[in-house]
Amino acid sequence: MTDPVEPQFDPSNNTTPLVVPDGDFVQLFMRHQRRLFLHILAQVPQPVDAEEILQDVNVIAWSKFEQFKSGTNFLAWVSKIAAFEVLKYRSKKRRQRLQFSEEFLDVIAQESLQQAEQLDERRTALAECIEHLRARDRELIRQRYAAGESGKDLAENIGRPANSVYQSLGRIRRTLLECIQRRMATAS
Amino acid sequence: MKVTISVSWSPGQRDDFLTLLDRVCDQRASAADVNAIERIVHDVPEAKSLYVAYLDLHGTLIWDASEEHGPVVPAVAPTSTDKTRRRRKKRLVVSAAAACAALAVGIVVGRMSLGPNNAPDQVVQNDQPARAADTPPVPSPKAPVRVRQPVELVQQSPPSTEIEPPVVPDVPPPINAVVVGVVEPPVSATGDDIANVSLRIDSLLRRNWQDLKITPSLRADDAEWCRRAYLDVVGRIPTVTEAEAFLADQRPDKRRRLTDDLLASGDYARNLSTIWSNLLVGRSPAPQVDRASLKKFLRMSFAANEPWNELVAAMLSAEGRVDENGAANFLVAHLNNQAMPATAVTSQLFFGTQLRCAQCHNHPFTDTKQSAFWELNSLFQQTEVVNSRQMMPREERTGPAVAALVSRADGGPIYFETVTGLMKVAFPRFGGHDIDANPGVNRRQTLANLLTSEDQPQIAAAFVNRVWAHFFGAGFTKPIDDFGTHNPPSQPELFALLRDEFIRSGYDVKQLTRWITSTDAYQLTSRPQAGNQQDDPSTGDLPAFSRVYPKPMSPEQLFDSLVTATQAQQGRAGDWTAAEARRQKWLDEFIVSLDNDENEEEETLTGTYGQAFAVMNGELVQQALDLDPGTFLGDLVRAKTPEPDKIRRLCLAALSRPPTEKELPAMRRVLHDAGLPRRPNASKNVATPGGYQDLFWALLNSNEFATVH
Repeated sequence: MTDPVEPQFDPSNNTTPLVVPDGDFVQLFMRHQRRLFLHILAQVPQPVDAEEILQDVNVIAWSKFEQFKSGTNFLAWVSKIAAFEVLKYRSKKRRQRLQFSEEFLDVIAQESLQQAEQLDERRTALAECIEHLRARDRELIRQRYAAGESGKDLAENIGRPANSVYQSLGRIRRTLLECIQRRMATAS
Repeated sequence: MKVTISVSWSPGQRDDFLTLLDRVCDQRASAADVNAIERIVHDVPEAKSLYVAYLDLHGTLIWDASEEHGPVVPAVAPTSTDKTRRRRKKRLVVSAAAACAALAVGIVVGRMSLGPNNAPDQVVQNDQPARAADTPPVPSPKAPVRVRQPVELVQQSPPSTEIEPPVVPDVPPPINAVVVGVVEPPVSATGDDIANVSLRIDSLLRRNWQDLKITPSLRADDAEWCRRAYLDVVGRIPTVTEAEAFLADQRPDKRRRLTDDLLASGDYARNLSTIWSNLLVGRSPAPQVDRASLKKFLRMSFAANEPWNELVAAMLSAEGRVDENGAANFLVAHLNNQAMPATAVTSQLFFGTQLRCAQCHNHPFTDTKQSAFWELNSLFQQTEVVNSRQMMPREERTGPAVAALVSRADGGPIYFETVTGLMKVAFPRFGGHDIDANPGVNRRQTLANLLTSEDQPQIAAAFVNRVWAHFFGAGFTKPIDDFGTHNPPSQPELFALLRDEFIRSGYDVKQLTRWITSTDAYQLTSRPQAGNQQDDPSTGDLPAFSRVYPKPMSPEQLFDSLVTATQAQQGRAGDWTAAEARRQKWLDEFIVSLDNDENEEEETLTGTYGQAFAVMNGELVQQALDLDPGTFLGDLVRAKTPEPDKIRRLCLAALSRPPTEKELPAMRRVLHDAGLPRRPNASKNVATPGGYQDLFWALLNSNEFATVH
């Protein structure tokens, strides 16, 4: 699928001075962090693990920057590295986690790349849509997505009955989704 | 050969799919869920794009929240540290391996996962640590080493490409709200909304008064209103201190403020949980019902101001042990007799329709069909009340038996007999929706989803009518839970307004209370005057609400008020369970459980001779008349204040108002005429302790005391 991971230095050539990526690469790299995270999350829907994979991908992408051809699709390039890291993660966790199948991930990864272009617009739309939530709903979102909150013990942590909390969350997410879809539809 | 047929969404399937994705997002998905997701993505072409869109939404919320970088979600009631955190710069992190790779030469960027406070400084060229400037980060080689305080960072406002969260007024929420995750809109921000709805209510009422040529009663004086507000909102009379404070308050909006304070108090949730647990399971339900657990669930829900439709959904779809899931107690109390009581009570309490008779026949003159009863009943057919002990492996079966609700994967319709003996079939159905009758579909869960995803005017109407009746002493229909063409609402436009606003607010219980209590109509006294004598619901006519009709106290209100009046509050502060246990013991004497199929019971207290007897001679009142030092009456008798002041204090304690001019001399006479105990040679003009006892007893036994007016 992709190239195997190479070590940062060529051990036979350790006298070569280190080269660092130029400003363009850095900018691309920075701007794609979120998209890359979302791309990984779609395949590995556990946020903590997805972030770890993101870090691993970052390290490798950084070290292989010379392989990236300026002017081409950055996400497509880095997603190949990500695919490999996802594969590694899955084989490590095979026994531990509920997992989607290979075929499913292929389909999803492909779809994710296709949707990637809209991500910035969707994020802007999301910000507006959140403003239109009822204050109570906004607050629940804030609590659910507070740093360190995994969602599993949310109901307990905020002292609300579980059924009610998760139903509310689902309803709010749906509301946000419809709102975003509407804005995207009218914008295009 | 496998044939793949690509189909589009079937009804409800998209919704179910999103529910599965919710479980993934909240780390609650099972293997079956994962398989289901894969199957749907495989079968339905639109599914994969929906999947990605939903996960992107979820991921963006995660990303923005933990980045602390102008999060997309502003906090509703931010503290000042929240504000600075929002404006603090994105902190960059060294990733170890990359640091080795680029140590002396370049910028290394990455992102920190996990907690909010684990972000070491960025490493810049020449190993000089410094806080990063904002995106894009191109720090100068000679970045100064001074340590910047967060406050200073605030002044370097980020570039405008960021989404600035709006400035929210810095209103500190009450403590209990923070603890239970409540969102209470600051009074000022929603003042307009409350005033708006209240104004519209009032104008519709006024129009009706004009049509009927009724003049509304006068405005209630502060003492009357204060007592009524306390009783209606928190279920007891105010203490002497509370009453005095309100009477002395000079602010023009003090009534609104009092309502808000009462709504924020713990007594509010306690009161509502009492009222509703009585409605839901009665005062003496079957032994397997864990009433305390139900009350706790209700208390938490009302304290957190959960939307009413979600409470209903939670109770109708509850599963598990009654001691762990308080909401399960409702159905556990009524699932006997093939869930027939459950059907009738659910329909009456939550939807405001009487289906009891529809069990056997169509309604004689409305559209209600017998099938309506059974279609609702079929939603409960999969549910069973089990002894939770039996659900556990043999070794773990210790401890008392606890009831639990379980759902079986049963399917199919149910059959019922008409009056003529004809066998008919009923499929699960609710609110115009057919519910899948297959075994794999959890009907109550589907019902709950319907209740929370669609507007439910019936639920709103039933609740609004009940709450209005609670405050005004009469609802828009009589009885309040029997909607239909045979019992139309008395003021349909006003009723529709309340119902629709309630839905629009998200079934916000406290907000509904504010609307009602802020109306001019609720400020009126309960006494009729010449212009509205005919406005009297007890005669059977439709109420016009030109005054607030008096209501008898419930047994719980009576008990709590007696306790408050007499300050018989040993162990009261925070000791809910003990206080409620005492109350329950007192009440138990008056509850007669009718052992019939319909789970009915009779409450024999209100307005009966039993009440008169119990109150006049019961233990509670005997304690109240105690003259020992340290008791209310004992201290009052011994105090060195003039007699009129003592009388005033007695009246405030019992009636929450000072005595009138006419009453004062009469009361003084009672004090002086009392027969015991009198010291020898004492003058007849001195009030005796016995006199105070008599007076207090008389006040506590008055009609005025036992009425909410």
